[in-house]
Amino acid sequence: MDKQEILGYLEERFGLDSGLFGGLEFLEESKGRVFITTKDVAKIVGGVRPVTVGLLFCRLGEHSIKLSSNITQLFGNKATKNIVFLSEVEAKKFIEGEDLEIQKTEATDGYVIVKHKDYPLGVGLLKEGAIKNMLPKAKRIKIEI
Amino acid sequence: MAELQFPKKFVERYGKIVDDEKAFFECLQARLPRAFRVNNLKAEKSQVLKNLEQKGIEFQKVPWYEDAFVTNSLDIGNTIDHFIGYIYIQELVSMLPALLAAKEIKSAQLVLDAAAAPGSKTTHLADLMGNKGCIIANDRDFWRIKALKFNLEKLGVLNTIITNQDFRFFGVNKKGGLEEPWFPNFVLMDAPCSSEGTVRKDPDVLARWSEKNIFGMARLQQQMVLKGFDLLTPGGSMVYSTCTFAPEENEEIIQFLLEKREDVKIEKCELSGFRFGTGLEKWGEREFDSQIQNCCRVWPHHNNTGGFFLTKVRKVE
Repeated sequence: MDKQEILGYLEERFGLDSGLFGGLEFLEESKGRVFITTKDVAKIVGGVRPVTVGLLFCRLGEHSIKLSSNITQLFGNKATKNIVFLSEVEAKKFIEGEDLEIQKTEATDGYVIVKHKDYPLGVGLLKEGAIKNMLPKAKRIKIEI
Repeated sequence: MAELQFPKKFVERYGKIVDDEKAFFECLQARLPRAFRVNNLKAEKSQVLKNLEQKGIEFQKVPWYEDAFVTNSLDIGNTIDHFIGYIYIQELVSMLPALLAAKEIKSAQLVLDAAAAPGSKTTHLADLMGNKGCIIANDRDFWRIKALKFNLEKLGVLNTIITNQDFRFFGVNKKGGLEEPWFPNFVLMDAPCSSEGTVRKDPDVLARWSEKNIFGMARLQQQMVLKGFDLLTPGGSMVYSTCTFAPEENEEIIQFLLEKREDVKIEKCELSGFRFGTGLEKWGEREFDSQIQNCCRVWPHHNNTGGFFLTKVRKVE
């Protein structure tokens, strides 16, 4: 999958303008992992032995693209659709790593951006009113909101 | 906090070079203020401050850096702003190295952070660079790189390459080392050190303290400072910093660099609202080059911080 296909999906699914990523480079690694970084990094990376480069942008599945939680937190406030807003109690549960039952949402089934107020918390997988928590285990914490 | 017991030798060494011995040792007994900075890569400062106020968290502005704040609240790490990476909890002195290079790194194509983990200063560099250009964030300790990676990701840093090399041999491997023309415009050399200056937050430093440890660190720092300087592009600069008071790890390292390389200029550092002490003129019987006066000592009682040492080195064109 190339950069244009990924950007096309983000625009269609979340209303994320492809211009947001205009000056950046996409690097595809093994296991369908795509990283995003600056053009200067992309120029230099061949001359060093990297452990990692830039930020994990998404994982490519056979029929899906899953945005990373960190990218969602960085650009999630620019999204215009397929957003699920959580109450304080729900947000706390989400950050702690719980899956959630959602009473009402305009989002359609598939990956959604999970927010509390103006905070983009991460990504979830919505299916028939339930959100599967996609927050990486290392990021899950107990928190007071 | 239980009263700290300083080794006799520690008191002898630093009592004679500090301007106010009583204030110095009293300050080391006091708890270090908790500090944080706003991460401009992800957050709008005004909104973050409003969020914290709404949560009842009290904080005060720091006079010398508009993005830094101090707080007595232990809840600051338990906020959603911290979870998302809108703020980063960081000791005040740890913000100085990047801050002193703020103007030049803004347009730098390549910055090299020689000992980057756990990433406090790397994320700060990225913030000041506006996520542009390139930072090579290196650390020799593979396990500490995990924390570096976590923090870079959490704060939304895009412009980094993480490497895992012993910096003394950085880029010498023909199979994958740094090659021309990729010489950094700026090197941050926050060197591994004996960490005496962190005693206000980590009293165990005193239990590990010995002059032998200081001398061992100094040998490593000599090699690292030469390597960092040699990699610099002509006209570029390096900040050498440690969190220790030991002259063997500070002024003596810069003196070593001056003796080994000819194209070195030590620049004076100033930060409005912050009080820097000057570098020592001599240590024991050894007198230093007059440029060493431009080195900066951060004595804890001057700004109510941890102890620190910084030097800005320019590679003359």
